[in-house]
Amino acid sequence: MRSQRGHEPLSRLYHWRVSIGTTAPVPDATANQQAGPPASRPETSDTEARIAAILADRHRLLPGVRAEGARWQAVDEQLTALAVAVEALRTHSTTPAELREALVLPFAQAREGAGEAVRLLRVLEARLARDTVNVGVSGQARVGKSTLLQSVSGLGDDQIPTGQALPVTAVRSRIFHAPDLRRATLRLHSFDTFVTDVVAPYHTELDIVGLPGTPEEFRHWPYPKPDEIGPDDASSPGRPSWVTMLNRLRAMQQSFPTYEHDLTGGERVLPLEELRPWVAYPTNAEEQRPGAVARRYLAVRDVRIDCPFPHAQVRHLGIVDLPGLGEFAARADEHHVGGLQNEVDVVLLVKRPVEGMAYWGDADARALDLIDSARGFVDRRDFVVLVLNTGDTSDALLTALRDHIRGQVNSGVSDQFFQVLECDAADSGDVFARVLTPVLAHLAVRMPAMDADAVAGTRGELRAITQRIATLTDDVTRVLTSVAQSSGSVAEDLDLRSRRLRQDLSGALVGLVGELRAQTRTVGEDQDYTDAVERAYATTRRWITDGLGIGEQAWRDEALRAMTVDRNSSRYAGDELNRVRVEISSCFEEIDVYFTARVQALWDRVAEIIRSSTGALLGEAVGEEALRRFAALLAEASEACPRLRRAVEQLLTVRLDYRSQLHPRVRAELDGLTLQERDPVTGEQRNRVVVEVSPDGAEQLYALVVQMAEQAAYLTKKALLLREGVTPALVLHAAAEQLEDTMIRSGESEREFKRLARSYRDELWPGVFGEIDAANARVAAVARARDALVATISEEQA
Amino acid sequence: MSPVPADSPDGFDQDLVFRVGLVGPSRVGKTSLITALLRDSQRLLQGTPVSLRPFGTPTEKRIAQHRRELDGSLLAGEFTPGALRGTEEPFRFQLLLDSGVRGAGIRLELLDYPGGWLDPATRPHDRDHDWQACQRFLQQCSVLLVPIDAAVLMEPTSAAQLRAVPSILTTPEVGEVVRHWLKERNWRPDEPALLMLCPVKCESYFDDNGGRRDEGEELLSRLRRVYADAIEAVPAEAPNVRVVYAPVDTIGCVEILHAEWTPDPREPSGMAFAAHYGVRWPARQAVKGADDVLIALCRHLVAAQQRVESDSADVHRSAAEQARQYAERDEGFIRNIWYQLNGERARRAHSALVTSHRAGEADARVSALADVVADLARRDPGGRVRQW
Repeated sequence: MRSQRGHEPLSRLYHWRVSIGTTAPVPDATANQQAGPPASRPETSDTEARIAAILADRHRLLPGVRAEGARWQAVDEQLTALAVAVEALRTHSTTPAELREALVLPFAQAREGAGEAVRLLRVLEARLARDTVNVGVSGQARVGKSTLLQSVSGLGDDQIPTGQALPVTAVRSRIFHAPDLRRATLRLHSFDTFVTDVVAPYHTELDIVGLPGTPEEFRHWPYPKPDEIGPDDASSPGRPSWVTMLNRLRAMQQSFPTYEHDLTGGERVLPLEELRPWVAYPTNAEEQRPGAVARRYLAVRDVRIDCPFPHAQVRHLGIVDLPGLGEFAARADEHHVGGLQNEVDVVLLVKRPVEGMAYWGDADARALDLIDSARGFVDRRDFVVLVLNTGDTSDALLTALRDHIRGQVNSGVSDQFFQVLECDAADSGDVFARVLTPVLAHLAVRMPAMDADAVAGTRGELRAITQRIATLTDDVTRVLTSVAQSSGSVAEDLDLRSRRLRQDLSGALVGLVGELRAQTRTVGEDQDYTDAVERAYATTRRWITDGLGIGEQAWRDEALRAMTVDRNSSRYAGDELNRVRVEISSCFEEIDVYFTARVQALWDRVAEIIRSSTGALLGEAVGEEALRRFAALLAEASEACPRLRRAVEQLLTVRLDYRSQLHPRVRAELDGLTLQERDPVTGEQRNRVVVEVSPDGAEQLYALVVQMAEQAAYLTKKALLLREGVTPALVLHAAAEQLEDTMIRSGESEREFKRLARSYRDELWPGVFGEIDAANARVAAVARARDALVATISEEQA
Repeated sequence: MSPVPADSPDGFDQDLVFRVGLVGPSRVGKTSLITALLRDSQRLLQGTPVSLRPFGTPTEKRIAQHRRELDGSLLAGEFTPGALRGTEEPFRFQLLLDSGVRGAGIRLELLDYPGGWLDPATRPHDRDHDWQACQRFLQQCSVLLVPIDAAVLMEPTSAAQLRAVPSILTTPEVGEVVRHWLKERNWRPDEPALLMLCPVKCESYFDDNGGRRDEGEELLSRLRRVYADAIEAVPAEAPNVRVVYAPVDTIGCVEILHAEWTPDPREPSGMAFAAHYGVRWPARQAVKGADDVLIALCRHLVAAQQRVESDSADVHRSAAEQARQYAERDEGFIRNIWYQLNGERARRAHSALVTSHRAGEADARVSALADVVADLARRDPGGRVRQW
C-alpha cells in the first residue's frame, strides 16, 4: 500500500472565504494512514454518524467554493472581455504593425484554463453539495450490476430491470435511501433536449448533417435504410457499428409516436410500480411485435428513485446506476465519465467470473482507465472498489478471476492498488455485509481525505491557471506600457500641436511682416498704388480740363457775371480756387478703392495664414469673414483667449483712406491754389490773379485757374507717389506687425494658444484627436479589462 | 580745348577763342542755356564797358530764332520744351566777351551737335566722320559743360521711370565723353580744366526765383546719383579738373504743370518723357544761375592766367625752361591767356591803332575787360552752386 495523506481539516486546504469546523469524529490518524479496507470496521452507528458529519462539513465548504466558482466565472468573463478589448486594439486599422504583433497573446489557452477552473469548481461544488454519500455501480453488461442494485435498494425488476439476454436497462437511475418514500421522479426531455442529447450524438456518429428542428421534421427525417447502402457505398463509413447505430436511430424515429407526447420537459413523479416502461428497453418479444415499439425511456433524462433500503446502514446513502460500460450507444463513455465526476464518491466496478470472461481483460482495463480518468484529485484507491459477483459461478472461475486480478491489477499483492470485494450480487444480505458495509466504513474514514484531495487538487490547478493568466496580464501590461511610452498622452500631444500651431502662425506672419516691411522701403514699386494714383490724377485732370466741372464756356460766363458784379476778379477767383482745391481732394479719394483692396488683401493673407494652420476651425470662410469668425471663436472659446481675440479685432479695425491718412500729408501741395502770394521782390502779399473785368479777362482767368489746378493736381499726384507711396505699406506693415506682436510675442501668447487648442481641439485638428481618443479608448479598454481581471485574480492571491 | 586765335568768321582774327565743349542729349536745352547765358550776362555786365554777345551771323540768327520761339510760347502762356527746334546739325555757337577793342575780346566757342549722336544706336552711320570731329573738339576743350534736364531728374515717380532716366539723359554716353575728356585733361596736368554740370529748366525746384518750393538738395542728390560714374571718374582720371555744379533757370517764369512718361518703343529706354510747363504770371523771363556759369568760366580764365604768371616767373629761373617748352608745346594757350589778360595782347593790338585817336579809349576798354573778368572771377557763386 502506498502512503497517503492523512486526514487534514479541510479548512487548512482552503484559502477561500470559508470557515468550517470538522464535526465528524476523526479516526485515529495513525490507524488510517493508508486507504483501503478499514483495519477495524467501525460500528454501523459510527459510520452513520461520521458520514453525516462529513456531509455537514462539506456543506459548510459550499459557500466558499461557490464564491470561488463565481469568482472564476468572473475571471472567465473578464478574460473574455480582455481578449475582446485586445483584439479590438490589435485589429484596428490605425494600430501600428509592431503593436499588432505584440498583441498576439495566448488568450485561447488562458480562457481554456479559466473554463477548466470553472469546470473544476463545479465538480467540486457538486461533490460538496450532495446530501448523500453516493456509491456508483459500474461494469460491463451482464455482470449483475442491476442485480446488485436491486439487492442494495430492495427494488425489483419493475424499477431496475434485469434480464438474461438482451440489455434491459435503458435509463440509469439514482436511487436514494428514504425510509418513508417509494417514488420515482422522472426528469423528462423536451423535444429540444431530446434532439440535443439523444438524436444529435447519433447524427454525429453517422455523419448526418443537420438536426430536426420540430417533431414533424424528425418524424419525416429521411434516414437511409441499412440495406440501401452497399458495403462499398461511399457514404458509408464501412463499419458494422454504423449499421447498428442507424438501426437504433431508425427505431427511435419509428417509435417516436410512442414517446413524442412525453417530451414535455420538467419532472413527473410516478409510483414505483409504473416505472418500468420508462427505464427498460423493450423485451425481445415486444421488439418482435408488429407496429411501433413503445420506447418511452427515450423521453427520460434521468430518474431519481426514493425508497427504503432493506439494509439501511447509512441514512444519507445513494446508489447510482452508471451507464453501462461498453454499451453500444452514442457518447456512452462520455456520459459515464460525466456521471462519475459529479455524482459519486466511490465506484463499485462489478466483475463477474462467468465462463469465457473469468479474467481481467482489455475491456476491463479500459473500463478501469475510464473510471480512473474521472476520479479527479481523489486517490485512485479510494475511488474505485472492484466487486466480484460470486453468484451463479464456479469456484474455479472465481479463483481464476481473483488471481488474475491480483496479478494484473494489483501486481500480485492483494488490494495493493485497488480494493477487491466479493459478494453474491443477488444476495441482499451478502451485498450489505461484504460490500456495502466495508465500503461505507471506508468512506466514513477516508472521505475527509478524499475531499481534501479534491480541494487541494482543484486549488493546485487553479493556482497554475492563475499563474498562466497572471503571465498573460503581465504581457498585456508590458505592451500597454510600451504603447504609453511611444504615444504619450493626449494632453502632451495637444500641447505639442499648440506649440506647432503658434510656430507655424509665427513663421507665416513673420514672412508677411517682412514682405510688408520691404514694401515700405521701395518707393514706386507698388504698381497698383501707382496705377490708383494715376487713375485718380487722370480723373482730376479730366475734371480740370473739361471745364472745372461745369465746362469752360459756362465757367467763363459765370466768371464774367461775377466779376461784373464785383467789379474785380478777386472774389470769384478766390472762391473758385477754394472750390478747385476741395474738388481735387475729392477726386483723389478715388484712391480709396485701392486702399480698400489693400486692406482686404491683407485680411485675405492673414486669414489664409490662419486658415492654413487651423484645420477646419474657420470652415469655408475666407478673408474678412474668416477673421471675424476667428475673432468670434476666440471670444466664445471655452478657455479665454483675450489677447488673441484683441489682435484679430485690431487687425479688423485697420483703415486706409485718402481723406484721413494721405490728404493731411499732401495738403500743402494745394497751397498754390490760393489767391494771395508773397511778392518775391517786395515780400508783400499780392493777388496772384488779377484780370480785367471783360470776356478776355474771364478767358485769362479761366486759363490761370486751370493752370494752377493742373499744377496743384500734378504736385499732389507726385507727392502721393514719391512721398506717400509707402504710406499704405507703412499702415499695413504696422497693422501686421501689431498682429504678430500681440498674437505671437506677447507674454500670454503661448498660454492662449494652448487654450485655443484645448477649446477647439477637434476643429483645429479634425479627426486627429477623435482617432487618438478612440485609440486611447481602445488602449484604456484593454487596461480596464486587464485591471478588472488582475483585481479578480488577486482576490484569491490575497 | 584751349583758347586759340580764331579763324574769325568776319575776319576779326585777333580775338582769343575760348572753346567750351557741350555734352548732352537732344532737346536737353543747350541752346536755351546759351540764350540764358547771353540774357543773364547783360545783367551781370551792366555798368561795365564789357558785353557778351553772339558773334557772327549764324549764332545771331540761331539765338534770335530761339528767342522768338520762346517769347511766343511765353506769350501763349505755356511752354513745352519739345516745341523748340532741336539741333539737327552740328553748330558752333560763337559768343564774344567783347571789350569793344578789335582783337582784344575773348571769343567763346561752344559746339552744339545733335544730342542723338552721343548714342551709337541713334547716331546716323553716315555722320561718323562728323562725330569724330565733334569728339576732337570736345577733347581739346579745357571746359566741358554738361547741360542736364532737371525735370528728367526730378519728375520720375516710379521705379520704371527712374530706370528710364539714364537712357533719356544719355547718361552713359555723356559719361563716356566725360571720361575721354578727363583722360585728355590728364595729359595736361598743369592746365586748369573745368567740368560744369548744369541742370537746366530748374524753375520748379528752387524758391529763389519765384517758385514756391525748394528742392535744390533733392536735385543735387539725384544728379549725383545719376551722374555718379562721371563725377567719380574725375578724381580717378584727372584730379586737377574742377567740378562745378550750377543749376540754371533758363527761362525763369515757367513751372511744370504736369509731366508724362509714356511708353515709346523708339526710345532706348522704351519710355518717352515730356514735361509741360505753365507760364508763371506775369510771364517775365528771369534767368537764374547763368551768371554762375559765367563766373565759373571767368574763374577758369583767371586760373589759367595765374598758371601763366607762375610759368613766367619760372622763366627767370634756370629750371623754368622745361615749363616754357611745355607752354609752347601747348599751342600757346597759356601765353595767350597771359597776354590777353595782362594787356600785352591789347598793347600789340594797340600798336596797330597807335595812330588812332581812339587809342586811349581802347586801352581803357582792354583794361576794363581784364578787370571785369577778374572781378567776375572773384564773385561768390550763387547759393545753388556746388564745387568739388
